Amino acid sequence: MVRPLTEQSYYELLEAPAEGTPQQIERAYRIARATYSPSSTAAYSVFSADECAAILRRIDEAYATLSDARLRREYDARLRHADPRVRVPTRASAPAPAMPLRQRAERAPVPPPRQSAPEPDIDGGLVPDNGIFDGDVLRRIRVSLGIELEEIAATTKINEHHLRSIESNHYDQLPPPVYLRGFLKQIAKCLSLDAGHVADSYTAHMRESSARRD
Amino acid sequence: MDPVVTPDRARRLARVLISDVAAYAGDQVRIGLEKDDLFERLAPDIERARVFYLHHVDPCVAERARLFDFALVDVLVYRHRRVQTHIW
Repeated sequence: MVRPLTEQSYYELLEAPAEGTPQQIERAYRIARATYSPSSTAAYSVFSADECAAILRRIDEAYATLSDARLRREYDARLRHADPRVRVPTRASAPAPAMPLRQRAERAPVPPPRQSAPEPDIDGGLVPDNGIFDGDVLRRIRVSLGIELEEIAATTKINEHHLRSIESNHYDQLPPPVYLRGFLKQIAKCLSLDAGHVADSYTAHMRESSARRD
Repeated sequence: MDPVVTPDRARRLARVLISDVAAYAGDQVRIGLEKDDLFERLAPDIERARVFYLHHVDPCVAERARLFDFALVDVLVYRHRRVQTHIW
């Protein structure tokens, strides 16, 4: 049986070897992030959005510890002393999960492609093939163009709080739709995108996500 | 995203990423400066930004790692130089 997330060591969570090099840890982290990203078709039918978010938080926590030499040494020492909060990761003694989470996700039946499935994470293309612009896509485009959030705020006079909410897809913190459309059009212009399409796409995606959540 | 192969673009990308860390961290930058634990406090976010940066900036870019570190100081620290803290 797969152990609960909180009982898995960081190595088990990332599926990285306990004596892995920093490069191996980084690679494992990137794969884990991509696997559990909200747009991952592998995790889609296995975990809910909330579960994915919790796993991603734990993955980030694992990487933050294992990528820092000092923190990793301390963590390894805790593991060696069989801290009850963590599992011992040595290959000889650690019972591997019956089926690691990532394998579970990979073996799950692949669902039909979702309409709102931008390329995951950092390897993704900028403009999604399906043409859907959510906050994550807008942020990726902005970063790739080398534009800071505060530059957008200065140009458009849109409060940075609203810009962050738009990019984070925090729909409950967004202004009323009539203002939101205007904001989206201004952001799109800053990013040299089709303003009308971005506004339509974002609001449609927002409605769809809200309906799914309710 | 195309690989970044010039120092100017690398510098720009680093600044945007760190600026995002600061923007999304809210009050944490000020608190981190006040308590002198800024980099520990924001470590996960900074590391994510660093991974992204190193992933996209070609290793042939001179001093690519240092460009990121410069951006950390310029954007996270210098822009918040008016914060009242015992550090300075």
